[in-house]
Amino acid sequence: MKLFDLLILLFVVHLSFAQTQRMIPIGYHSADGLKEQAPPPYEVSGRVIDVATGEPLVGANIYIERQEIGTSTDESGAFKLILYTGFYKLRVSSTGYETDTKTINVLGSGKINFLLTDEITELDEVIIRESNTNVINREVGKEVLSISSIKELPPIGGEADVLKSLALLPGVIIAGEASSGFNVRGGGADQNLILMDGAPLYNPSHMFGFFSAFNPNIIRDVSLYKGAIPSNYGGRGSSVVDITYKKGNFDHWNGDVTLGMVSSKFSAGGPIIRDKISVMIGGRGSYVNWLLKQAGDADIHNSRASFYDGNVLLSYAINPRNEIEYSLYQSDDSFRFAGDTSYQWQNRAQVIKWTSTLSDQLSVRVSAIQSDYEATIKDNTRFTDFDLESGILDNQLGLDFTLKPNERHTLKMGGQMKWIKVDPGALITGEESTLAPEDIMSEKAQESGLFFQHNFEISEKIDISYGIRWSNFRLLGPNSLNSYNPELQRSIENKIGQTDFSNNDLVKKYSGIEPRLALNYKLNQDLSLKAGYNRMNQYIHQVSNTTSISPVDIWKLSDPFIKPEIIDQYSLGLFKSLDQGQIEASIEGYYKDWDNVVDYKDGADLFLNDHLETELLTGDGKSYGFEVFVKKKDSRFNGWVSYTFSRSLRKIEGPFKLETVNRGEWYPSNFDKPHNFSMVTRYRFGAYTTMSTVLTVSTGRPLTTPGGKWTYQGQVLGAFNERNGGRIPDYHRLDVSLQFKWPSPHKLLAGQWTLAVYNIYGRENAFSVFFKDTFGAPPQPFRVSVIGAPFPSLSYEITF
Amino acid sequence: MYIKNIGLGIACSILFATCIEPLELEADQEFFSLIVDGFITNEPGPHSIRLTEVGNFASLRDGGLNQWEENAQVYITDQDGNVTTLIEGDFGFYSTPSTFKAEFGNSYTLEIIRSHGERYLSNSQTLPNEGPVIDSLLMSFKKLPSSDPVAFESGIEIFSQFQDPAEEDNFYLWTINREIFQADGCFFSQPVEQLKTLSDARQDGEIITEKIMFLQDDGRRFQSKIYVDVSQYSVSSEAFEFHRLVESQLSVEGDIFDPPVGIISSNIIRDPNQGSIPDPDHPGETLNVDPNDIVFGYFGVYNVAKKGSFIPLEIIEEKQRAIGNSKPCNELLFNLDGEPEIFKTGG
Repeated sequence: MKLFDLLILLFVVHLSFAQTQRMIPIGYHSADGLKEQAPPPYEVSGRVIDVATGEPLVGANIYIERQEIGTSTDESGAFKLILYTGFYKLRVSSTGYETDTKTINVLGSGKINFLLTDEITELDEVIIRESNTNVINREVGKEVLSISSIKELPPIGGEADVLKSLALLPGVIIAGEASSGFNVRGGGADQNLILMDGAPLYNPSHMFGFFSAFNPNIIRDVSLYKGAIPSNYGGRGSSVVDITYKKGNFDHWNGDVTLGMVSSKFSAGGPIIRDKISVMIGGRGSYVNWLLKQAGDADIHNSRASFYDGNVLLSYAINPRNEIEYSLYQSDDSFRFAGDTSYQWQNRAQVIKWTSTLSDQLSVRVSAIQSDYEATIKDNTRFTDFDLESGILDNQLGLDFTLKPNERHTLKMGGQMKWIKVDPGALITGEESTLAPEDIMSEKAQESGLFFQHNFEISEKIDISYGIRWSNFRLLGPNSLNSYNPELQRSIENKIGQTDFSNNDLVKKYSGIEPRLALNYKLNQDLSLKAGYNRMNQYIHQVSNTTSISPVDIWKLSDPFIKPEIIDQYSLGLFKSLDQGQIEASIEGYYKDWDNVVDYKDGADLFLNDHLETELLTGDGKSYGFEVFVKKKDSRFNGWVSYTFSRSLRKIEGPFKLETVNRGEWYPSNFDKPHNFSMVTRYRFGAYTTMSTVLTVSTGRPLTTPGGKWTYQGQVLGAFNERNGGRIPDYHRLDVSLQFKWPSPHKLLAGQWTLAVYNIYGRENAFSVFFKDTFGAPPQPFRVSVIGAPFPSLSYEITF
Repeated sequence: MYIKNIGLGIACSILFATCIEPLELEADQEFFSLIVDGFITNEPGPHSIRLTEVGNFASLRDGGLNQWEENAQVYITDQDGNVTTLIEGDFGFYSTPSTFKAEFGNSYTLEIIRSHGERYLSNSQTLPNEGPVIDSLLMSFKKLPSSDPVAFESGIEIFSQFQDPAEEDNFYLWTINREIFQADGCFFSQPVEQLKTLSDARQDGEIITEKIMFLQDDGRRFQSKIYVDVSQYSVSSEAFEFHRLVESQLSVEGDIFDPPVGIISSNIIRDPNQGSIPDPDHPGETLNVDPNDIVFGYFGVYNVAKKGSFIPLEIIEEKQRAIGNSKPCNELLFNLDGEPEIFKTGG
């Protein structure tokens, strides 16, 4: 222990000595001596940049030790400090990067940049002391996961999973293994706005949710907004997941290749024209069929699956003040079942944006976005063969301004215009098919939003961020609107008429004001109180009565029957920094209130249904809970513990029995899991080896369980009378991974091996439970475990 | 129809180490509601309605029997007030006279008074218009996917082909009344417990060829001769919806994308105007009627078209190995005494 302390002391002394030897003057008088320096205080600004890629680092912490003041970088990696004349030691840290420390001599206003390098294992014996970021961070309800920390988590099948990593954070849960859908603070999977470089993705999964759609090698970081969502985001009720690309380096080429058991991937970035145009490309492909052939189950043995995705990011630095970026994401999934059915789906997301810095205070960004999702189901069953094609086309234009008149104020304002077209499905039948071709009418709408956001540091103790968003939704023709006898329950038999709308006729209009507020009150240097509020209006709904996102899911726009979901969220939390920033702890409570939450009639037939409103129910919802989070940031042994208590309830009370659920009483939603615990640990053994573990424990999700059995026409059925009255068994799982970097001078051999075991003790977690009367046994519940055995994987990553 | 295919297809997302195992799970609150199982058709009776109670989710030995209802009074009343009394038989069956049949244009209501006095009423059910006849029953050999080149499962798919009436909403329900086959020198007539529904919403006015059954080759039924007797019912949209949910629940096999099971609403409710009934446990006292008392099952009034057909065994491309039987015929379940008439006449 003494040796350990001595090493720290030696390190600090060395650092102090080194820094005093390199004093950086800021704001010195120009050589001609003509420029008169303004009186103090002075503005010291700069950027924090990844030295390898040239990308700005968002959320990096700048901390001045003696004065115990600090700030963090914004979206462009920029920071500003207001300082008086004198010497300051600035320490800059960012998760996954080596900490950099510089001593400056402030003589006037000026700039200083920090170039951070990837955190490497030579830091073995060094304790990194980060600042108390959770206390000083102004943003409320935001979590940032760097891609380096995601890649350190145990992967499934060798694939680091961006979305499943989010589920280890407080307030986020997933339905189960085979699910890319996740739930944030009691919200539905469709209430998450998942943005890939700003473009929304409607099916963010490969292979029905086993892998998420994102190649981790090309992603810079992932931001999750789960509360106090800034007003520049809108359209979904519960959360925003903003995924940003790595940018290609303008100076030199670099990249990486990862070989895995079921898929491989690569990324490469570098200059096309040095200091002018850079490119970043990435790709991923699967070869899972060899694994399918090992399955004993005939259906799986004879099935075939594949997926790929590719990314391109082109950056053109026109001049120091103007930049144009173009990004493309394309993914393709194909799955053929052993029988007669196959599935294909594609995502294509394109973004072009121009960012211009008009002055030191004002910048503007113009963007055009297109997201195209298509899904096809092919069935070759004799006499009923068909192709069913569905899709969503989402085109957007955006304009936003950022004004930073000084260090204490940041104003954002702008607007977005979205044109969205939803094709529920076209049934194309084969020659022998007795099915009639059918084309369910598309829906199209225009959704616009204007926003204003002001981040204001009122004093050293109080930061406030408030904003407002005005959203407007116009459902447009062509459309056919059914009308029903209001005296009777809504059903196809009670349809009394139909109104047809021509192209671009206004069918229905909704609009709403969405206030946002985040308040951070620093009680002292190590303790802050944060409060948040947001209202979100959601005009598009995922119509699915399964628990996971799949190609048979249908998206539905708001119409006269399905009103926009309106979600109000209130949150309050206490954030504490301990041990000089080594440990972050927080406790945060929230309450959410929903209007017009969408649920389904029992046994709803949602497939290719041109009167979908007869199968859907709307009502009220509420969710509430609290989250406890403790994070240790030591470089040798770090990780976090997260506990979330969360309830998600609904109440649907229609005028008729079939339009009422559970007698109009509150009932648990499909993703109501009250207790959720996760623990992530990372430990470095020496210079080259890291071991990571992830333990997750949660309550089983709700299930409609039978109170008995009944026999009808000789067949035994479960007697269900209460929706979601029971629960599947509790869920728990431990994953372990070992990362080893070979210390070789040859690049091909100096890669990183990752050996991981998912579900190491083989817990047979129930994904679902069903009730069946099987021959030779009494009718009983059966458990479906998706990965009910330890699942090992091995991957190898090299960088160049 | 293809909803099931989709469900099966998506089941394949259980890619790696999937397993399905029995589970100890605490059941929802137990209750013993009335079950009504039966229908009347346009064919002469007797038509039977079976009354039982919801049973424990357990084996017969553990008390899992659906106890049948005894000493109930069961009536069918038409729109003119003509009442037909159903006669109680064994095992909870209550039957109409053999002369009774549903008439076109008539509506019928089922009334049940249980032995303790609880009264239940169905909503009015009208006999649908005359439905299409089955033009033919088509058969096709089907070999199921297998990872083993030698061992596989196979059977015969049976399709009903008929002309759907144009420009009207038609709903169909199929059952196989019985299969008659010869195996190991014995003759058998056994029920086939399968159920299939179809709406003509996407095939209106077409000649529909719909797969209605799959008879698996169990090494017995396809040994020498087999005859199937199919009933095709034209039903109301409400009856279709009920049976669609039954069919959906029966198809749940543990797919990870299975929809949540639904509560299957009956068309029979506890009489809300009854007020109270005598308390069977406390003579002289009364019990209030629980309006939320749930009934399971359905009372249907259907139009039926029947067709029987021999399955041509030559279409079976690969037969399963025959399962021998050492017992005398008369000790076997569903055994017939001698060769059935249909085998002698050839249909």
